[in-house]
Amino acid sequence: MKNGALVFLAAFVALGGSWCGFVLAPQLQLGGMKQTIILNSSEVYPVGRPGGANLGLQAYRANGCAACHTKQVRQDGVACDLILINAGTNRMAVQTAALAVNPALAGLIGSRQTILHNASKADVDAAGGKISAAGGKAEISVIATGPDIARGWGLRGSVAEDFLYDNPVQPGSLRAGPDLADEGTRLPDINWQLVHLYAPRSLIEGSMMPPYRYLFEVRKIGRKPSPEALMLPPDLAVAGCEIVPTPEAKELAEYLLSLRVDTSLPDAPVTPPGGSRAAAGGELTSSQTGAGEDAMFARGRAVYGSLCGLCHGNDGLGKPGQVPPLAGSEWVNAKGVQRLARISLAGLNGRIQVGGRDWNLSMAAMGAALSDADLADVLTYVRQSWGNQAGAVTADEVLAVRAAIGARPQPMTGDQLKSVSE
Amino acid sequence: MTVNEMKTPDARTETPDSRVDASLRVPLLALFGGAAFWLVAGSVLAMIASIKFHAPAFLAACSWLTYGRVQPAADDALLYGFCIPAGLGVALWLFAQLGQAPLRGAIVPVVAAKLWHLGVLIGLAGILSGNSTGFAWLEFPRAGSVVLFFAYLLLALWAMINFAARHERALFPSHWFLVAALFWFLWIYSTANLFLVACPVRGVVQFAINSWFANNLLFVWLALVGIGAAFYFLPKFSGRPLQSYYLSLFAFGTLVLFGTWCGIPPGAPLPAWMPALSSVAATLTVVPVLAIGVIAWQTVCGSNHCKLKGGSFCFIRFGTLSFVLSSLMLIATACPRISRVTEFTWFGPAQTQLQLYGFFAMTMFGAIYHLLPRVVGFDWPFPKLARVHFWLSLSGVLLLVLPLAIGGVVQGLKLNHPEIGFMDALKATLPFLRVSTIGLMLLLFGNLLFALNIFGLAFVWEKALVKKVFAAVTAPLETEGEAGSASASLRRDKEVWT
Repeated sequence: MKNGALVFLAAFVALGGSWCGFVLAPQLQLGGMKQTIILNSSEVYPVGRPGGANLGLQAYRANGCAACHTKQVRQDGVACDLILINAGTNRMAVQTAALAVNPALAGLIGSRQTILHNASKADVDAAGGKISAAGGKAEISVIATGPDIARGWGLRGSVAEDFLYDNPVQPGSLRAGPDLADEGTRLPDINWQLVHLYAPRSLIEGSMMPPYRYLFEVRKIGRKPSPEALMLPPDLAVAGCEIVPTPEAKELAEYLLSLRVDTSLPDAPVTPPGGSRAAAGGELTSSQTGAGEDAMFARGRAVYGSLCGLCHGNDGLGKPGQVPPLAGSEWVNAKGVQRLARISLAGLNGRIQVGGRDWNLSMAAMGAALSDADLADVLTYVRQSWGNQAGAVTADEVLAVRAAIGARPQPMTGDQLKSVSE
Repeated sequence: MTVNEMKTPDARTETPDSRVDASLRVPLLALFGGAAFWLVAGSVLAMIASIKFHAPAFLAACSWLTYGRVQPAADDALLYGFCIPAGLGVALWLFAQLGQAPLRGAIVPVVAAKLWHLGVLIGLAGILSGNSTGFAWLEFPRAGSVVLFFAYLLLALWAMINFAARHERALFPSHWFLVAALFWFLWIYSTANLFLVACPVRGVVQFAINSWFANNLLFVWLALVGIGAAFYFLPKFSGRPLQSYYLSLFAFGTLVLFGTWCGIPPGAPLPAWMPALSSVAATLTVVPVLAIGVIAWQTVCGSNHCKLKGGSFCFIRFGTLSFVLSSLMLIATACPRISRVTEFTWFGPAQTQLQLYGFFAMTMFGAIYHLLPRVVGFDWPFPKLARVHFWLSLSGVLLLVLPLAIGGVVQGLKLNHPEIGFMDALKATLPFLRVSTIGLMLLLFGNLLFALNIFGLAFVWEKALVKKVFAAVTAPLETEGEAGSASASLRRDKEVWT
């Protein structure tokens, strides 16, 4: 073989080609990826995970959770609905246009009526164009399709943005257990997650997940029972002992709760059920349709679940000794929202009295992560849940407080808060 | 004489020059001895992982033995512990044989081999203690990876220096495969460690690089080394020249051209061009895979003397067949419609096991059973166990791969029907997983026999060496001739060492 060098050179080029294709090119295309604006909102996605959840990602890695669990939702396509929002002034014209789009429509059309159901994006866009030409206003609702989504494993397929802040990225390749991409929405109770880690079969019959006993400590119950002890079914309880999660277990559970696939992104539009978050779609979409307290409340719950609930709990009871409760809190139920808005916008540091008890805590500022509207919704939700019965909060009120405390506020202290009028 | 005949190793290339074999004795024992140890260790870990599907609470209280750590440790022990050092050892031997030149500076590969096995030890301890990097097939923590990289660098450099200094200047098809493989591992391993572990890139770029690395290590690297070895042994055992030289050049070229682009799963959350490109590349990879199948078939068929019935030849024929089958499975899963069913199911692990064990490990067993007795200068202590090993491995691979593949398809079909509960889909795979445990058990027994033979051979050699030294030391009063010959043979052994 005289051309040995030529063979090796050709092989070198061929091998190097794949390096350029699947190492260099992805880095050039995606290496500088930035946060995306969530459709029809001012929020960006993704925001970093809270500290505990970030540590939990490392527990996920160390214990090899990815050996059995994927974090990739697969999506087949989308099914779109066209919903009439407002028939406008010329009802006749809109009626004609709607019938032209969908002859099967019966009777007079009214607002909130579905004009097209389960149609392709192109059809819905065209139909929406006709309705708006006739003076009506219609909204597109996008529903992702596919078996994973039908199983409730996420609202839409996983996209590159979902992994932006993960290191290491562990999408997994085997489903010996369920997909975890949307675990935080599906099973948002941290106690459930911890009990499930400790004894999977006590919650899921026939589960093949190994019990992660080594992430928990069995302690003799002393004079002061640990507030973090698991609430276990009687057959698992150890007499005279309590099962306390180690920090690693708590972080892992917090990480699982932080996993969610429910944002509507430009490259993966989707309409959350109940229109709780802003609807997806083109220019036809009106923002915050069906506004009113119900929608705000639902939207607030979604934000609360993904952010506040991680510490304050989905029951609003907080964590004894660490995180004060929101249910029944005098700060939450105050007449005005000056103090409450300051806490959530600027964060909190140091001693504060809540519910007759002293707390020493440090709460992160949420002002950068949440828009005025979102914060208003979540505060409304907090003020009207778990027995709280205070008034709703508007975006303008939040905006006013935001303006008052400046762009980069220091965390508040209890004394500072007291000096602000309610 | 045609080109084909000229360029194919035949009886003449297996040199009677014992210096070539003797020069490789210590490095190969170091490489294969450690490899045999990790092979058994990997099998034990795989058994532990598999038993957890019978009883999830088995050894669950011990964090070092939780499924998520044992499973990758078992895979890495097989790949990094056995496959790569075995492949490197066979490559060293092939270079020496084909180049008709004894290995020079044998101490360097010995040190590199020890270093490599140390790296595997560090890596496996890292995974089991919870310090895995979290990247598929790259789980070893940084300390282990660095040791592995420099051990490999040393071995590859030494192999290349000896390749350059070969006496027989002709290049054989095996040469292209092995040289490309020696070089390619350094590239992919350094890239993956640099961009995933040392200074990680952001977001899904990690996923792209990880998939590229895993494919190029598991598919391309193993194929280059395994097929490179098979292209030497198949003609040799069947007594026919490789059919044909130009077809193998074509297979080599298309393999590195197309095979390297496979590996991005069709449903990956990456920009659409990547999985699409990967699917196209996988489709084109049918060409080299079938070409290799045709070459092997035409070389083996029509040969009327099958040496070593049930021995090396059988191992290598089975390995080549497994290569074609596992590659076709890989190509099938790159097709979006098939991937819709098989992705995220046990079909993937079935394919990987067929590739790692059915193809590569089997080919290496065949090569080692053939070459090690020649190199060490003693026969296998238990030659019958080698034949038992073949049948155990054959049935083990079948019982491991078939149930997993079928179970994977069943699982995939059920998962695609959302009205079937997830737990029902999971439970449907359990009978298949449990049968695969039997396959793993057979493989474990087979691997034990292999290790027994290797360690037995090493022991026989060491005993003879000690005897020789003892004779040389205690024989000053013997006749000069005998003592002279004893010390001369000792000197020869010394030469080998240095």
